[in-house]
Formats: sequence, structure tokens, C-alpha cells
Amino acid sequence: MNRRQYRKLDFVVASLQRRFGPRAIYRYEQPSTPTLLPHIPTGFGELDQALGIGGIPQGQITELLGPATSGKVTLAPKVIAQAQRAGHQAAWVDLGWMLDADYLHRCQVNLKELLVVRPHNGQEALAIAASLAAGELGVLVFDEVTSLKGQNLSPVFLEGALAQIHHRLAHSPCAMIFLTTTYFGPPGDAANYPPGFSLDHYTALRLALKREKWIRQHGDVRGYQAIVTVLKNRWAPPAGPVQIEITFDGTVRGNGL
Amino acid sequence: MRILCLLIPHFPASLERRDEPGLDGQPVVIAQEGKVLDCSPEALDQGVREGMKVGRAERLCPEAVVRTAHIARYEGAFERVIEVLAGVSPVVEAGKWGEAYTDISGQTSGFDDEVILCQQVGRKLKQEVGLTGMMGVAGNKFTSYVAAWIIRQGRALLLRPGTEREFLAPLPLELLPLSEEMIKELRLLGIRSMGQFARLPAGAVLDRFGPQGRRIHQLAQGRDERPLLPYQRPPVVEATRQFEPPLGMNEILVRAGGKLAHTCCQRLRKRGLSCQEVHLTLSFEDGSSHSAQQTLSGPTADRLLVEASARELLTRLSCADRVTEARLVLGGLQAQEGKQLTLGVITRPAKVDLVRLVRPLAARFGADSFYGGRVLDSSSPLAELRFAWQPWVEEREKVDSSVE
Amino acid sequence: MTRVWSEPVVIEVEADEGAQPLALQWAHHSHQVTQIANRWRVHTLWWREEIWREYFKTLVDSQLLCTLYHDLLTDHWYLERVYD
Repeated sequence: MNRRQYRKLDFVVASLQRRFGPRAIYRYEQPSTPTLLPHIPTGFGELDQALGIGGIPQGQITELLGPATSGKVTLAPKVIAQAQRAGHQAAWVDLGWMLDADYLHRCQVNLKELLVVRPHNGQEALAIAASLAAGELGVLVFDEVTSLKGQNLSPVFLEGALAQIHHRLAHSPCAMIFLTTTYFGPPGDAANYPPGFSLDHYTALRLALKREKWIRQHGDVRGYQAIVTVLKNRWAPPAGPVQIEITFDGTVRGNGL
Repeated sequence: MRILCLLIPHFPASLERRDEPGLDGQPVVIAQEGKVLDCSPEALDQGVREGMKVGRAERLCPEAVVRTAHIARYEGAFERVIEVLAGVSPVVEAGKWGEAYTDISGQTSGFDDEVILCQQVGRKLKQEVGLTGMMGVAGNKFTSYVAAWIIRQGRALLLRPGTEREFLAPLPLELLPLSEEMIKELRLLGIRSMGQFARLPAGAVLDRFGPQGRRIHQLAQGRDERPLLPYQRPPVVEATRQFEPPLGMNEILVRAGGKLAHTCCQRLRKRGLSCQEVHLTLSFEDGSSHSAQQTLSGPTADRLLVEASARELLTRLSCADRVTEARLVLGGLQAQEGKQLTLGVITRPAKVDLVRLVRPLAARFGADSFYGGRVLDSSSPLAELRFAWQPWVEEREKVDSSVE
Repeated sequence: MTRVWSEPVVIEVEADEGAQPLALQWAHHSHQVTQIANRWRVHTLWWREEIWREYFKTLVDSQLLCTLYHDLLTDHWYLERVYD
């Protein structure tokens, strides 16, 4: 667009705003990154840098999505380990009852200080998550969204639950992480979510993880390399994908700990 | 459902004008950290925009009066707006500054009563806060918001039930929360109004714009099922002292100010918080009460700073009457920040008592839903023998009782 | 991270003569084993409640990495964990 066109557009915008108010024109501009936005580092230096604020934002919703064996269920415990080192407390809502204490321990999570919730159903899971979101935890992980499918939860309930969680987080230091296993289509495909669960609307940060290749040693599969792509980031301009390395003895590299 | 939306546009700029009547009619820019936080309509007309650098705003509008933002003051004033609405109905949702919703279903016996209610809210707002707003009443949040935006300041627009879609139809797309890209795409399709957008098939909108587009499509059709999220008052720390017999101002200054500040600051430090707002309320023998408040230059939990502020407020409230009660409230609470910023912004938070957090949840959902991990034998060849999950509440209570 | 069931899941496994898994039936799907990355035996607690298992860390055609074990006492196969 040339300068004349910009001026014409400005005139149109100004007259619309005069008529309908400043919010007549919605601009989805990223706000400038606040320098002291509370956050929990992931422990991966390159990833923390790519996120723009140094880690996972507190008081906001983050979604980690990817197929099985993509690294999302390793990244979450590493964030918890970082939070616990900083003196925060953490909780994990384990809807599928499949949390591996052994692996958490090897990711340096202090198991004694980790609250694990094993709800009886999806409705309870979200209700408990909403209560914990207001409870001044440092990290709360919801594992996992895909388990909510097939639980016959009404779209109105799901939307209300998310709105409530989002609202409570706004007054809380809690970094909430939703894990979504993508079984269908590309990351973010609606088929992976129960109807009405508009998580994309409420997330401040969405990271897609994908395994690139296995790490083998003497024929055994000892880990894998994964790529983390920032799909959405409310706090910084989009950055390029970051590679992380995960080994099954619990150590994870990628400029991490 | 009947939702009343109250809008006070340019809330910070309006407050500055309320407190400085000489600014009326002049372009006003509210600055925070070198950027425009808000501006008056006159400055907007000159091209000033939120988020712009103040220098650029001044070049675009040289006659603008620039004022530094006082966040705590704006928050306090907005709290009072919320209280006005809370007097109408207990369900109030606070949006951004100057935007609030309340559910008035069942509060009136008909449309005419709603008109009277709006007039009462307008009068109370002017009386308690000194500001004028716009109001919209409709069957859902989004439509009530649009109704408030359309109408002029100091008025209300009430829509009869069932007319939401018809009302929205001729209005421009820009009033919907659509991204620039979506608006561009719709315009390429020849769609300019909400009515045209609303008539598109739902499936086509979902395919083209995803679930978010579908939700916005429903808004354009006058459908918005979002419930109001009840407002949660920001936390405060407070202390009160009563005086029998009542004390004179000098005695209060000597005896009460320091003690109240000390009690409040102890509570702040225990929770790992600092405050930025100090409110003092004195109740007098004749039944009246007066308040004063001060916003500190930065968050603090320092007793001496808070005490100094309390003393200054006492001086402001000074009068000949005798005082029966003094109440000190510290607001604008935030977590205390670490001093060594070079180490990053991970602050040392106050320890959360997880047992207290979990107990009511366990009572409601069952103690069998909450677990903690225990290391049994981390080197066992059998995975099931390395760790165990144990009921959280029982385990913690066992530890607590063993400590006793 | 791995996903672990609180009670190991019984599965149907097609094995060769050396009792190496070739395919497994789980979650209503058949998964062909493409590689056995590792195998080991555990024979323990014989003084109490004998446990004798052969473990296999396997890669299957759907790109899942999982750990199965063959209970050598009961001849049942179990899925212990999936690497996620």
C-alpha cells in the first residue's frame, strides 16, 4: 500500500471509530512484550528464548499438542521441575490415570510435593482444575484434553468451564498447561477436541511438538529428537521451530538441564 | 436472560477529566511507560492510538495534554462502578476498565421497568463515581455490548426480547471480534454487514474460519450463550481499631497509625505480598465516616512507608470530631518481587498449604481423587515396585500428627 | 515421558517360535512389530510371589514405542507402558 492509500485507510478507520467508538476496529496486534511477565522456564534455553518471555506464562493457559511420543508429556514435567526449584507447588490432573511416577522422578520432579488428581470423570476433572487454578499453585497440568471426548459433556458446560478457568488464572500465579494428543489431522484440528471446548480461544501460548527421529544406542531406542513449533504466542512475535532432545533415562537435552 | 452492559469509554481519560474539569474538550493522552494507555476522543480524531509511543502521539496531536497513568486510582474507581451495578444485581462481570455487565433477569417486571432501572443506574453512577456511561440491555452479552456502543453517552438502548438479530443485521462487520484477515476475506466475498455474515451457512463458516469463526458467526446471529463470570473482588489486607472512649485526632496520630500499619504489614509479609494502595477510613462520634487514599510510588511491604502514608492520610482527614474507629486497608496487592533481577523473574513465592487447598476438594469429590507420589525402590527391576501413589490427605495428616 | 497403566493391560500377541512378538492387538487395532529395540528378563520374588517375565521394548508400525512383557508363569502378554 502506498502513502495515499494508508492515509485514506486512516481516514476510514477514524470515521468508523468516531461513529462506533475506538473498538469499532479490532486490531489483533501483539502487545509489546512486558519485560517482567511472570513465567516458569521450560529448562530448554533455546525454547525459552523462542517464547520471548523466558518460559511458560503464569496466570495464562498454555497448550502442548502433538501425537504420542512427541515430547509434550516430557516438557510438562520439566516445567514442573523448574517451578518446584523456584519454590512453587504444582499439580497434575491425570484424567486417564496413566501418570508415570518413575519418569516424573527421572525428570527431577519432587514427587512428594506434586499433587496428583485422579478424577472420576471429565466433569470432575474440569471442576477440580477450576478450583486449583485459583489456588496459587505455580503450575497446573491438565492431562489430557482428548480424554474429554466421548464423555458426553455439553458444549455449554465445556465453554463455561474454560471461561471460568481463564478468569481465575487471571488473578493467580498459576501457569496452566493443557496436553492434547493429536490423533486426527494437523495440530489444532477440531476433531481432537470435544465439541464446544474452544481451547484455542483461551490459550496465550500453543506449542506443537513432533518427533523427528529416534536416538539409538547399540540398537536400542534410547530417546528421540523433537521439534517444537510455536503455533500461537500472545506475548512475542512468532519464532522459528526449536529442536529438543529427550532420552528415556530422564535427561533431556536441547540446551536444557 | 436480560443483560445490562455499562460502558464508560476512555475510562482513564474520563477520570482525569473528572478530577481536572479544565481538561474538558481538550485532547488528553494518558501515558504509561512511554506509551499511550488511553486517550480522549479528540486525540483519537488526530490519529493517536492506544499502544503508540507518546512522542509520536505528541507529534500527531501537539495540543494534547499528557497525564501519567495512575493505575491504582483507575482500579479503585472501577471498583466503585462495579459496586453501583452490584446494587442492582449480585451477578456482575467486570470486563476491561469502563466495561461491566450485570444480569437483570428477574429484577424488573417488564420492559418499562428496565428503562427506569437504567435511569437509576445512570443517576447512581454520576453520584457515586462522577462519571456518565452508556448502557445497553439485550438478551445476551454481545448484543448488550453493541447496544451500549451504538448509543450516545448518557443514554441507554434497550432491545425488546427476540430482536437481537434484527438489531445487529445492518451493523458493520468491524463490531464483531473478527481478525483483520477474516474481515479482509469476508469483504472479498462482498460481505460488509453482520446480517450478511449471519446469513452464511454455518458449515461454510466453520470450514473457512474454524471454530472461532463459527462462534463469531453465532454472535452475528444474536446468539451468545456465554454466562456472566461473577466479579471477584481483588484481595486486600486490612486492620481495624476501635476506640472506647473515642479519641481526638492527635491521639490517633500518636497511637493508632503505627499499630495499624504494623499489623497490616505483618499480614502482607506472611503472604509474601506487597501493596501499592493505602486506604484509611475514620468513623466519628456523630456516626459519619470519612476516607482518604494514597497510591504509593511502588509496591512495598515496608512498615515505615505504610505508616508514613497512614499518617499523611490521617492529617488529610484531620478534624475536631472524636474518632470511634480507624480502619486501614492495603490494596493493589502483588507478589513480592526478587531484588536481583539479573537472576530472572522467578520470584520466591509464599508456600501454598496444599493440604488446606485439597481438603475441601477431597470433601466434595472424594479423598480417593487426590494422590501424592512415594519413592519405594527406585532401582527395582519391576516398574510397579519403584513408586507408589498414596492418598494425599491421609498421608499429609499422618505426617502432621507425627510432627505433633 | 511414558504412560503407565495402574494395572497392566492384557493384550493378544502373535509371537514366533522364539516367543518374540510379531504383532499385538490393542485398543481394537492390530499393530505390527517393526523392531524389538531391547529385551530383558526379570525373575524375582521367588521366595514370596514369584515373578518371571520377559520384557520387550518394541517399535510398532503406528510409530508407537511401547514395553510389553510376557508372563512366563501364566503365558499371558501385557502392555506395560507406552512412550509418549
